[in-house]
Amino acid sequence: MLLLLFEIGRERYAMPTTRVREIIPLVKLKKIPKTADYIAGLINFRGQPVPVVDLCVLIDNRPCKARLSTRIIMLEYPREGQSPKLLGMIAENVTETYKSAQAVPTASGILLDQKLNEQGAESGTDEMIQWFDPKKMLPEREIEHLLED
Amino acid sequence: MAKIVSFIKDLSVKWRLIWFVIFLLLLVTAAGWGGLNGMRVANLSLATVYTQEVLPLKELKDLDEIFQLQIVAPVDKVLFEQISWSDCLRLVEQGQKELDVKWQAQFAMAGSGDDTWLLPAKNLTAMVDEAMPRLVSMIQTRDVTTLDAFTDATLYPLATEYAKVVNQLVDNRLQAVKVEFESSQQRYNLSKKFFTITLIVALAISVLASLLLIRSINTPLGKMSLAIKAMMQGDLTHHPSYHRNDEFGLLIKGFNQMTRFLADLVHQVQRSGIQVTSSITEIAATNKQQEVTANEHAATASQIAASSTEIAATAAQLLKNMKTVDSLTRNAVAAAEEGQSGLDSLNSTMTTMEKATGAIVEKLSILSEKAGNIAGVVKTINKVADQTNLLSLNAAIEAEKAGEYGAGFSVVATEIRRLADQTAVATYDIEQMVQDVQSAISAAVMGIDKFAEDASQSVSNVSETSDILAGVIEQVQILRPQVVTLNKGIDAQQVGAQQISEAIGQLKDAAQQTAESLSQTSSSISQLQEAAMGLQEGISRFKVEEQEGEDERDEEDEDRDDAAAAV
Repeated sequence: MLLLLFEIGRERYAMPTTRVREIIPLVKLKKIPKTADYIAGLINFRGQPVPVVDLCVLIDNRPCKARLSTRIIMLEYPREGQSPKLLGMIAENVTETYKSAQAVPTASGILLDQKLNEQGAESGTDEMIQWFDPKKMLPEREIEHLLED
Repeated sequence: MAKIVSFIKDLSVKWRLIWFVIFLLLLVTAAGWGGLNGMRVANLSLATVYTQEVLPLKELKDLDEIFQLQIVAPVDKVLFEQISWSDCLRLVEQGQKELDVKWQAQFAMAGSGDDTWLLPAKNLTAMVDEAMPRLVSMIQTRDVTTLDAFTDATLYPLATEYAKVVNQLVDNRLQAVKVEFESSQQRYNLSKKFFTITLIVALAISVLASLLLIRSINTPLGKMSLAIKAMMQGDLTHHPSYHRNDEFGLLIKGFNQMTRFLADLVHQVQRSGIQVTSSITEIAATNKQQEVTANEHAATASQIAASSTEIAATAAQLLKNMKTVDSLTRNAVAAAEEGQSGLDSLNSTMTTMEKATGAIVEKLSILSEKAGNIAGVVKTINKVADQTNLLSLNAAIEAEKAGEYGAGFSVVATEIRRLADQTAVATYDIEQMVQDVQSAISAAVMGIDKFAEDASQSVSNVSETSDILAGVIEQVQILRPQVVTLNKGIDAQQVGAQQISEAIGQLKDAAQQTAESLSQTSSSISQLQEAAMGLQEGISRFKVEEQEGEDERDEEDEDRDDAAAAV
């Protein structure tokens, strides 16, 4: 399956591309007052307002760096008994995809794909990749409240 | 009574002693007068007894004997015809005359006093006077019978009567003597009593007076001796009080004043001692400092002497050098002139170089601008590569969603992304290179600017140097006569330095002498310090009241004295 790779700080993450609608450049955001710090604001995505979450604030306690490689991942967030809704996630270094033979991550959520590791060794970053499950990594109740119709 | 007491109290000791002696003399005089009087009375009484009572006794005895021997005995002898009648008559008449004389004397003696005791004697003499003429006539007639009868009838009873009267009179006299003795005894007893009482009273009074006198002397003396003992131990706070206006009062007042003066003096001395000690300590410290200073002075002087000697030597050296300088200056003028012409040519070269550097800087700034343009182009390429990467990502995601149909497209998307990545890497390299070029250009521009600045500085320096050299030439030409003057001056300096050296040597000697005398002073100061310590130690034996309290007391005492004077 195809995995989308990105970074939060110095850690690398991977998530399946099946739930990714599109990747867009970092555009200017409309701030939502009186919300948590990790909610970066709203964007107009083809005439539709979509809330955007800053993963760096959520995980690394700092906003993502303003770089060309810092992009917004448009995620189709699954909801219980309802149709999924779009959620933007800002992440760093969203430039790579990876074709993996492994469909399900290990129990610890660490991806230990041989080929990926070899690639990592080539690029000089000897690291393991964290599986990114939106349901587990994002605060579920707040996100569902945010996406309510 | 009170007046007397106050009179006694106010008496001076001298007058008290005088009064006491007068009193004792009066007592002795009275006693002596009394004794003399008693003795005179006794003597008088004894004389009376002797003349009036004892002397008559012998006369009376004589009267009896004369009557018996000169009247009765001749008559008897005539009767027994042992003597002649004429002898008898002569003896009888002689006896009668003697008897008359003696009786007259008796009566005359008794005539002054009581003469009742002479009555029987008068009767007897009357009887004898009556009988005697008859006896005389009988003897003259030489009538033996009548005479015998008369003798028996009258003469013998008369003789008996005579003896009886005489005895009676003697008894009477003895009685009178006894009476006189008894009265004398009574008088003696009376005067004895009187004397005893007088003696006791006199003794008591004199003892009392003596005690009072002793006390009035002893009390102030005791106070004085206590005060003096305290004073001997150095306690000057003891002021005995005495309120009589006699010599002791004067003495104690004087003593108090003296101790007060002494205390003041001691206080003064104590304070002065402390001041002296502190002053001496200060002096000693100052002296030490002076000594140190003097030693330093000496050391400095010797240094100066050495320096001046050096100066003299240096001056000599300098003189030698000056001669060299004189010849060198001439050479210097020539060298400077050569240097000036060389500098002129250097100046023109430098100006040319300055212009050339300006052209280089211009070229370099154009180069820097071009490099900036390259950087702009690279940035655009970079943006395009980024967009391409994004596109390829989205394409890959879409291809994955298309499943089997999108597999080919997925490969194309990956290839596009790889190209984009390579482009990004290449642009990154270009960016780096352009940055290097730009920094190299700016470094070059800075270096050339510095060079241009240095060059223009050098040009101005060269012209300045040229000017200076011209000045030098001028100065050196002026210098020559001055060098000659300088030579003379240095010569004089050398002499002066030698003189200074000698003077400094003398100064050094003087400083050393000063240091020595200061150390002597130091030893005498330490002796002085010891003396001051001794003084302080000696004076510390004295106990003195605080000055303020003493003043107050002085005032009080003065007040009291004033009051006493007023009274």
